Amino acid sequence: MRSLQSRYIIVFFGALLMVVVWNLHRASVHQLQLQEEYLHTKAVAERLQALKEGWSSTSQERANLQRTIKKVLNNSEGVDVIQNGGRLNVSATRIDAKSVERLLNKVLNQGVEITQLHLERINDTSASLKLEIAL
Amino acid sequence: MTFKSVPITCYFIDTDMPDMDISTPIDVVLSPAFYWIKHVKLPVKTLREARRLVPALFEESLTQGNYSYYVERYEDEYLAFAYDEHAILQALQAKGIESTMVRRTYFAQHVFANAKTPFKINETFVLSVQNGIVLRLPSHLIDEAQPLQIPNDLGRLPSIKLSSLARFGDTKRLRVVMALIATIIVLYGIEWGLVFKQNIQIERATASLFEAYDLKPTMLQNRAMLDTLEKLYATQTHIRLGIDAALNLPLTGNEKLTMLDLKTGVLKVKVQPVTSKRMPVMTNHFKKSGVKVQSKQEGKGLLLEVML
Repeated sequence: MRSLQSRYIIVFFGALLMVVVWNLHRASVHQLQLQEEYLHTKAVAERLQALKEGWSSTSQERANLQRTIKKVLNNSEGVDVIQNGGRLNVSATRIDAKSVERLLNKVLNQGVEITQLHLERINDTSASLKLEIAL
Repeated sequence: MTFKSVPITCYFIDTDMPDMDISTPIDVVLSPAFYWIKHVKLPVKTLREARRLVPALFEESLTQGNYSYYVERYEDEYLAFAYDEHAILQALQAKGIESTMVRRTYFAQHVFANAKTPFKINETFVLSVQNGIVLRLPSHLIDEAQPLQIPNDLGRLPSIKLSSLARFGDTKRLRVVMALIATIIVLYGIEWGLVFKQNIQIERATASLFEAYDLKPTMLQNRAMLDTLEKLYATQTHIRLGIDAALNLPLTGNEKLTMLDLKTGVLKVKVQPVTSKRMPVMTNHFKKSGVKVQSKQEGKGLLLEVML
C-alpha cells in the first residue's frame, strides 16, 4: 500500500513540476512578447514625438512667421496675406529677388507644410509670388 | 520490411539459485518464496471490492515491507497474493537480472497449478501442488520429483508488472527524491513568480508610455498617425531638396530660372533659354541633390518635373 502511495506521490509531484515548468515557459514567452511590445511602442512614441515637434508650431511661432512674412513683403507690390483656418495664403504681384530669397529661406527652414508655391519671373530683378502653407 | 517475433526465454526465479548473466529481455516465474498467497471466501461480489479488502487479509501475517497485492477469482472464492516488489527487484538484481530486462512476471501458482507431479527446484526444495495451491516444500517431504520444466505457452496466464518505481520502496531514498523534486518545484515556482511580477511591471511601463507621450488609445491609431507624418516628412523634405536644387541651378550666359511651380504631387522648374548640350547638366544637378527629375524641352526652354 505504501508503495502504491509512493507512486501516487511521485506522479503528483511530477505533474506539479510539469504544471510549474509549463506555466514558467508560458510566462517567459509572454514576457518576451511584452518586452517586444514595449520597445515597439516606445520607438513609435519617440518617432511620433520627434515628428510632431518638427511639424507643428505654437500659436506664438505662427504669429511670428506671419509677422516676418509681412515684413519681408513690405517693399513688394500687390501683397495679400490671408490666414484661412490652418492655412496661410501669401501672394504678391511683384516682389524683388532679394525678398524672394529671404522669404523662401524663412519658410523652408521652418517646420511648416508647403502646400503650394508659384514663382514666376517678371524681369531680372522681380517676380510674382503665390504661396500656401499649412500651419 | 518484415518483423520477426523474438522468442522470450522464461526463467524460474527462487531465492536459492545461482547467479545469472542476462542481456536480453526475459519473462520470469516467481517461486512461492517471493509471495504470500491466501485462498479465502470474501463477502463481496466484485473483484474491485475484493481488492480493497485484500491488504487487511494479510495485515497480521506479513513481515515488514512495502507490499503490492493481486487478487483473482478461484471458483466461488478468491485467491489473494501479496508480494514485495522492492524485495523481488533486489533479489533479481542480486542474481544479475536488471529490472529493465524483465518483461512479464508470473506467479508459480498460475504456471504450475495444474502440474500432476512435483517439480524439483534444487537439491533442497521442490514445487508441489497441495489443495490447488502451489507450495515450495523441503525436498525430504516429497518422495519423487521431476526436473523443473516451465510450460511453453504462458502468454494467456495472468502476470504482474514489476514497476521500476518500486525501487523507491526505500523510504529514505524516496524522501530524498521527493525533497529534490519539491526543491525544484519551489525554485521554478519562485522563478515563475518573479517572471509574473516582471510582466506586470512591463505592462505598467507600456501603459505609462501612452500617458508620457500623449499617444492615442490604440496602437493602430498611433501607427496610422505615424505613417501619415512619415509621409508628410518625406514629401516636405523632397520639396525642400527640389526647391533648393532649383534655386542653386548652375546657370550660365542667358539662362534664367523663369518659373517655380509646386502643386499637388509635382514641382515644376522652368529654365530659359537652354541649349541641348546644357540639358543633361541641369538634370544631373538635380540627381546629385538626391532628387529624381524628368526633363522636357519646351520651345527654347527646359521644363524639369520633380515627382514628389
